[in-house]
Amino acid sequence: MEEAMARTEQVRGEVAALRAEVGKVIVGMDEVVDGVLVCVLGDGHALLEGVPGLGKTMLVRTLAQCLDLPFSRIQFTPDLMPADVVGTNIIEETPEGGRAFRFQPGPIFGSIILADEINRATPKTQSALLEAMQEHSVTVAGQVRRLPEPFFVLATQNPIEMEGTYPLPEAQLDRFLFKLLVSYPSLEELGTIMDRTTGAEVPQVKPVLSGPRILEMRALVRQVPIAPHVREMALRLVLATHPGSPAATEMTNKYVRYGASPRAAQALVLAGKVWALLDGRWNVSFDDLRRAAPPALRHRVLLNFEAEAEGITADALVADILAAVDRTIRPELEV
Amino acid sequence: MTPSTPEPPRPVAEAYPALQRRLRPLRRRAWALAAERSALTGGIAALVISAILAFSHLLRWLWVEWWYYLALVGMGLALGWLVGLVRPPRAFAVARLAEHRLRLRERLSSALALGASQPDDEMVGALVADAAGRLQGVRPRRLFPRRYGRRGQLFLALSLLLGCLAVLPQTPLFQSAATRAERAAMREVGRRLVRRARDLHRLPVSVQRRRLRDQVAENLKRLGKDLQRGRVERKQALLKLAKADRQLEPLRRDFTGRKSLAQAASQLQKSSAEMAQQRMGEQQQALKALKEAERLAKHPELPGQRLSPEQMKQLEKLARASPQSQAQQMLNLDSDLAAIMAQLLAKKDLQEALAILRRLASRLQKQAGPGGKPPKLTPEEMKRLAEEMRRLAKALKGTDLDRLAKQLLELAKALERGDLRMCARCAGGLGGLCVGLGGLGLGSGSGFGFGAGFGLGMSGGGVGFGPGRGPGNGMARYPGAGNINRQDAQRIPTRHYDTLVQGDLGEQGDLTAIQVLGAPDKAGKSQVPYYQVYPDYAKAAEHALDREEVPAPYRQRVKDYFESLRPGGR
Repeated sequence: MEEAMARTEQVRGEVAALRAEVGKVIVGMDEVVDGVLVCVLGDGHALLEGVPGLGKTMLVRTLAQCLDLPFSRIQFTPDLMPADVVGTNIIEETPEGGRAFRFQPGPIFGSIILADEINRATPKTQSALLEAMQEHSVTVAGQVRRLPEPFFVLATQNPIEMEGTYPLPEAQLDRFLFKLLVSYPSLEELGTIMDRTTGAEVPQVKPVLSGPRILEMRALVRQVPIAPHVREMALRLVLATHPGSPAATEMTNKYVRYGASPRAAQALVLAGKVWALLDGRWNVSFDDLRRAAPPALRHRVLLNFEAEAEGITADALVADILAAVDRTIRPELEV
Repeated sequence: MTPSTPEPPRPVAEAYPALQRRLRPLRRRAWALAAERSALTGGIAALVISAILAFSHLLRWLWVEWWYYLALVGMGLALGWLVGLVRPPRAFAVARLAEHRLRLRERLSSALALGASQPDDEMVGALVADAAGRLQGVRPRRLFPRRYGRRGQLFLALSLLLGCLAVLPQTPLFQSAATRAERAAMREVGRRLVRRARDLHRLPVSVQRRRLRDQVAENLKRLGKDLQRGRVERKQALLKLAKADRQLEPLRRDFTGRKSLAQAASQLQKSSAEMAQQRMGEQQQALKALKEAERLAKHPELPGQRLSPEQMKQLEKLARASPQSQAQQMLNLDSDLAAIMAQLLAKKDLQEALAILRRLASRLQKQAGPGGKPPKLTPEEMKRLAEEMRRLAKALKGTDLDRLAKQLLELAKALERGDLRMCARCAGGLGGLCVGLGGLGLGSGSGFGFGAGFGLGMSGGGVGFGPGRGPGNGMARYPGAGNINRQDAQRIPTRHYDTLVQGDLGEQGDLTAIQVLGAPDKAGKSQVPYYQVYPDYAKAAEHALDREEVPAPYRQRVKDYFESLRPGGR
């Protein structure tokens, strides 16, 4: 028991150090940084969406430096081919004078992968990531090759300049633990950014966590227990996104074409566990799930035409679902 | 023997009992508060019902005593509390509420749920220990303070509403002038009742009546105070007064030395037996004399006084005469009139007794031959009937039906004199008196005065009230029976007095003419035709009935009474 407490405290300390280290470079974006850290510790991938210039790529790069892990950046373009991502077999002359195929690993063979502007690649190339993201392996020429652990994909996409882009397929989106929205910095944050980036001194970060340590942390996260009634809330949240289901809200029935998959429930619970651990608790709370719901559900809910026509966003829908589920989890006793 | 491996320490086993122990006082507190809230819910339900009842009472749809509300709300609270007591909250529910109040983020409920199912989990152990630690020092009263929120507000609001519905109509501001006058009269009656109660308490009575006297005095005093404070409605006052009147009956008899109806019944029974015996003796003697006369007539050689043919006829008639009494024959009764009257008086069925006398009066009026009709009664029959009437009068004399006894005696005298005209008149008077006594609620303990819409009287006590205008207000029961102190009654000063006037009697003995005279003389002749005053009196009665001023048991009787008086009716 004391050991569990000590390990928890150690994780909290290390994550706090990691956050502080990232904070040397990244100004503001607390929610995004926290979301990315949850994805790292929860063994998931993150999709960052924001207009150009908000520091998405900088965040991923800084995180990679802090984690002391192999970092790869893939700039997705329309002419990018799957082989450019996963690698290919090339013919190579052997020292004996013969010829042999040699597998040339693509950039996917890294621990932290930055898939920059992922929606600019064709669906064929995008789908090259499916196996890697789900199974942490790639299959080239019939041969399955394991990716290094930890494996973590951070994709970015630009919500504007949609011409010549290919929206991510649902299967691809579902593989991201979180979809994080990067917003504009505030006045103070912008001022700090200016100070840091236009001065003579460039902030330097040092590695705080190693790959094996991250794997240990992930194991610890999975040990955090979740009580049945809390788990039930996660399930209710997911079921409430399914139009026509008994748990669906009026808004869901009206505006949702397809609801979230079971991966959404996994994402909610895993994210809840990470936040519980980072909060120094050994249980997942309703608040953890409430906090995890928007980034975990917003990319998994497919809105219909009516929602788009009326300007209903996925976040508004998730907020409505949260309010509805909140009503069902109030303490039954009133004194 | 294989060496047993030591059981690994179970982290939850240490902290889980502590967690449960610390939850226990919280659960007790929550249970008590839940029971209180449940009681409040019951109270709210009872208040809603009470408010509906109060509203119905306000609209005079039904009568509700003020303490019904208290009882109903009390019962609602008690029932709700009991329901709350039999439904103790689960520890998990208490933990949920406690962590909600303490902002513990599901630590307690998770620890409770997981501690039981995963006792070997290290993380669960840490969770349970953490939860138990956070409950240390938590004071149940501070965590679960007594607060009722909207439920309490609703309870208060409904209490206020009920108070308004029950109390505001009692305030003069919301009352009509008539009601205020009525209340003032009731207050005055209340004051008088209190004084009467005091007098009654001082009344020297026998030892065995003392307890009754004190009890009645206490009841009257309480009623008087209630009337003064306006805590009792007129109908209730009437019923309570009637009850007090009934309770006062023995005392009054003791005090005035009056005979009770039961005594009169006993006397009648005895008289009936004596008459029957006497009649049997007379018949036997006549039969014997007749046989002797016949024997003498068959044997002219025997000495002895011979009877004349008229004497023989008379003896024959006497011997063959029916053993039935004259009244029994006239009314086709199963048994002797005195015996029947004795039974009815013993049962206090005065209405039936008066109906029989009314029928007798009707028959007698016809058979006495008024209006030039030949009389049907022979002098002997009249004498026999006079004897019966005299016995009846003797038995009723000194009771509440003293006036009836006087009328019967008058009839008996007229029959004895053979004055047919007077017989018919006395019979009419008897019938009218019977109708009047029956119609005025004889035996009910209270009477009605229709001139005032409604009046209340109390025999002996002589109290009556009402904002009436005209004769009849404050009329007491047994009018003319002699035990009413009318001087004490609350009457509007008037020179009119209620007097029953004889009228023609119908086939069934029903009275077709009754009149209330203004400034009557002793002879009691009608000065105003009844059909002229009937509409006013009937209207007043209908008004009283509509306003429910007449108690339910008497309404039908009042209706029947006026129906029987309706001009052109039967």
